[in-house]
Amino acid sequence: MLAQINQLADPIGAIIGFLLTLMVLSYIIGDNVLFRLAVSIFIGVASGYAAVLILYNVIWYQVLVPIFQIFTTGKLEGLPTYAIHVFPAVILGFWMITKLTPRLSRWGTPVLAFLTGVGAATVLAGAVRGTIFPQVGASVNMLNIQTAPTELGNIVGWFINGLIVLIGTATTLIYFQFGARRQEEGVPARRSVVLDYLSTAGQGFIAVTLGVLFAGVYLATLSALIDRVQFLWDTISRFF
Amino acid sequence: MKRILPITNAVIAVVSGLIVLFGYFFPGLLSGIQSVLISWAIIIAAFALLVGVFNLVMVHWKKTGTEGSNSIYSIVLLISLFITIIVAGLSGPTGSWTLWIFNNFQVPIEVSLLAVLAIVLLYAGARLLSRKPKWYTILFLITVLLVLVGSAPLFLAGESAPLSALRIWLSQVPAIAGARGLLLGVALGTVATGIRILIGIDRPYGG
Amino acid sequence: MTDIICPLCGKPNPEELDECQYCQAPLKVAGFIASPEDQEDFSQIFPPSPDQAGEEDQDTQPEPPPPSEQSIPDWLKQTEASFLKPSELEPEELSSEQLSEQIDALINLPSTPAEPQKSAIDDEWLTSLLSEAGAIESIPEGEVLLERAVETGEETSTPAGEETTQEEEEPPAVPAERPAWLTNLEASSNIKLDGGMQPSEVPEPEEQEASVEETDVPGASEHVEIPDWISKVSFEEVPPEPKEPEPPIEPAEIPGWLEALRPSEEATPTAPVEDVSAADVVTAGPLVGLRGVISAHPSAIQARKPPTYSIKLRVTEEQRARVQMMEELLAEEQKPKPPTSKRIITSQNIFRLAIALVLILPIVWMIIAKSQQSPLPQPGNYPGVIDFFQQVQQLPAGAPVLVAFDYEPGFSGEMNSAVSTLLSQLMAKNTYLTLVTTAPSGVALAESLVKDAGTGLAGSLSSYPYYTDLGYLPGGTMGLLGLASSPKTVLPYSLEGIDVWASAPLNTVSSVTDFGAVIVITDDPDTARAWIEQVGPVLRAEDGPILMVTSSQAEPLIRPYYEASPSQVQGMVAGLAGGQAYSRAVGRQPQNGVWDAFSMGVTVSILIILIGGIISMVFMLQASARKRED
Repeated sequence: MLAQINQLADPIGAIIGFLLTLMVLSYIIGDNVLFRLAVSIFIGVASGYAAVLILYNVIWYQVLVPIFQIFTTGKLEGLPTYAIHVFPAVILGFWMITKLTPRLSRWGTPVLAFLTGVGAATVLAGAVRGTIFPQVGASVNMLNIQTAPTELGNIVGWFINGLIVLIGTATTLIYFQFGARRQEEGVPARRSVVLDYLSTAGQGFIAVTLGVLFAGVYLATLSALIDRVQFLWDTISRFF
Repeated sequence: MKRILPITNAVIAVVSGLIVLFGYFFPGLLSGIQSVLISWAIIIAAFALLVGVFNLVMVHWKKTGTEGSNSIYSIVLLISLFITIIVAGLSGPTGSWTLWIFNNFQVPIEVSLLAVLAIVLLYAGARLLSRKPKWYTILFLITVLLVLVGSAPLFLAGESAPLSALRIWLSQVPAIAGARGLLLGVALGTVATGIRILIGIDRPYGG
Repeated sequence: MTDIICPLCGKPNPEELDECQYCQAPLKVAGFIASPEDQEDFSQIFPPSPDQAGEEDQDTQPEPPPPSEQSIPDWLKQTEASFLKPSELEPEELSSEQLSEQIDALINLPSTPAEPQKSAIDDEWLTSLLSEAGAIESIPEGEVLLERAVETGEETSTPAGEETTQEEEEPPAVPAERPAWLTNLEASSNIKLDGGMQPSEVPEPEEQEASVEETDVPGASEHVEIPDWISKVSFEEVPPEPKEPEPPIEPAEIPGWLEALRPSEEATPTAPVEDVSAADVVTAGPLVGLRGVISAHPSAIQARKPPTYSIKLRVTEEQRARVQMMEELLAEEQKPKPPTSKRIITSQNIFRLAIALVLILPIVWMIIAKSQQSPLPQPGNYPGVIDFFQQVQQLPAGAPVLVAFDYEPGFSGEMNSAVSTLLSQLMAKNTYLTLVTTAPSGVALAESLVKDAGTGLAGSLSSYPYYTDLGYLPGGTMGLLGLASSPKTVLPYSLEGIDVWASAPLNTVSSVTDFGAVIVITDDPDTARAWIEQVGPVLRAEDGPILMVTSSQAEPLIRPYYEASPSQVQGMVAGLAGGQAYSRAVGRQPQNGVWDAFSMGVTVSILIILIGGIISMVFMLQASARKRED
């Protein structure tokens, strides 16, 4: 019985996938019931899987299994680590469940505050260490003479490219600066003319970057469309 | 209590954040405490995800009781959620039945959603010039066309070396300049926001 | 329609007017509406001249007064006319001496007030009256006298102006006595004031004439040339009133024009609404004698504790019903309205359907035909592919490699070919795959792909044995920081519950630097950035590289990290094209027509964008031309 079910699982799964694909692709002609049903199924499946994964991966294996092992084997080696790294977090995790009820919601705020503080510090340090310093250095090193090519024709191209990258990076950052000097009363504040021109140049670089991004997104979605067409054809050819 | 609780929340956020931050600068002294706090945060984040799923169930449970056509979607959502929990719970996150549900339900729907997006993006690109275009709109469109032309050989026309070279130059020079500027801007904004949270000015957690 | 006589200038005005059309005096003062009797009085007070009377009979609209009369102030005319008797009096011929005395009386201001009890107001206006009559109006008056003299047929000898100036130069030796009309004017004006002139004080006209005659004596002794025209002027003298016994103080006779100004009874203050006749009379204080006044006695105000009022709202049933109605209305506003059913067949949907068909049909054709016409992409045309391939190739056999499956299943169509190629290359080198994911769906994805890749590699149903799945790492960037510093702490067990850190090869791994390589497979640039920012700084130059397999949508934002110097990402494969190029570098060539379909899709997309853009431009230009024409 189980083997038969296993044998049938594949074609049944293919048919389900086929139908769900058509239900979602029906959005091309407009929003409809089939599309919304497919999306509801997707949310339910994804949420259920995430919940099971958390229960398995974190609650069971990181919280419950170590304490069971300690009690069953009697080995207390892992107890200090568990008591420091895991147990307080479990208490805080249960404390955070108070956020579910409106009446007790504000009592769960300290846990969120802790999460926010730790997260902010992590992201801040990562931005400084991982992006600001290396990327600024990279922009400067574009015109590092030590990395320059030896051939003359290449040097010109290298220099021009480095200059474009340096100017593009700077003007892109300038574009997002909207501060202006205060003028006389009644006169609206305006940026200086030089900054205006530089920000216009930055606007051009941003337009190019966004164009490349848009093309990349479209290529990704085109690949998905090709994958679905192939799947549909494979399913049809499988049964017919 | 109304005044004590917000101050306590701010103190907790600031102290915990500063310990983690200074752990980078004083690894010998604070790396242990930093590691402990990070461990707590990871487990609490897992609980937060569970709380989110539970909240989703509660919201849609309430919707099933209301009249209207929208309740059927909530019913379908809850049915698929509970079936997945039962099957994946019994089979395990990497069990065969779990993978069967994953490969035949989640993957087709997600890929199809992205495929529909291709039609929408192409429609938007075709109508980009329907309104009075500015110079950067035209530059944007030209860039899109150049990248598309250079990303794959044109059917029956083959691959064009100059166009490929142009696409490579576009992605390596001006696009990198703009992207680097964007990344630096995002990073600077992240630093500013992080500092504001760590000194207690911003309190996104409420209170 | 009866005309309204102006109380100020005496001219008739139409009934509908509110202001006199001559002197702009209000005709209909509050409560005052000139009654027909009063209007007759007005006409008697201001008897029209024979010429004017004749003109009025002929014309309905009265003619404006002559310029000579316009220069005379109206109030002066009033004061003159008010003391004229209603009956027509024949002007009596005055002697030249009497005439000069009267003129002197008009010109010369009295040095001392005759009646100290008179109000200063009367003296002031009288003084001004006299000064104006003497200084300013002397000439017009002279002209009036001249006219009258002409009427009586007498000649004039010298102009009055010269006479008046001569008389002004001569200061009066004796305080001049006022003429009768002036005295009567004073008497009538003093009637309303306290300490006004007593009737006994009103000089008799005969006495006035005698006083005038007496004052004229010194003037008569001097040889004063009196012009002939003055002697011809006749004054209308107010006839002396018959002597009556002095009655007690009677209410003064208010002249008619003044009476006409009295507010009518309609505007008089009404009697108090409340009948206070029964109220007590105030016996002390400033309001003594009044009734109905709040007593100032302390006992009237009894200090007592302020009453406490219930804070409970007293709501009637009607108010409750209204509140409920309002609450229902507000609740309905907060409820999301169901979206209106839209027509499925709209021009936008048809256009979108047409684009979808134009795009999908060639792709279907390529898939069905399994076309292989388009050349596979060259690895050199995609920066990062060759570096990626080389970095993987340089991994030592059996080395533990951390592979992060951080992409959504939706991008599996684009990235699965690159991931499969990567896994096959790693499995070929017998590397120990340590799978981890920061996205919940990555676990199942990783398992599916590893199983498929293992099956394909081994050519059997058995899967690749050298891997472990550490499962889901919650916390995002915090989890990555923990993984970078101490993976054993944050992920102590695998997904099967095995302590993988206790056995080889992971027993040699204490931090992320101990892995041979960190390969991140992601579709999200933020996830890639988190890995680079948290794990990248921990890795040193001698440690394993960070390699990226990304979607083409994330490539522009990850490439700056690859192109940096020193590079933060040592190799990257992006998109379907990058995956195909990587497959070609590894030596795998797909045969399912995907690349041709991709090529066809890109070509059709370019054409649709170009044609759509041209059509949109044409329509836009036409629309703007039409707007300009309008």
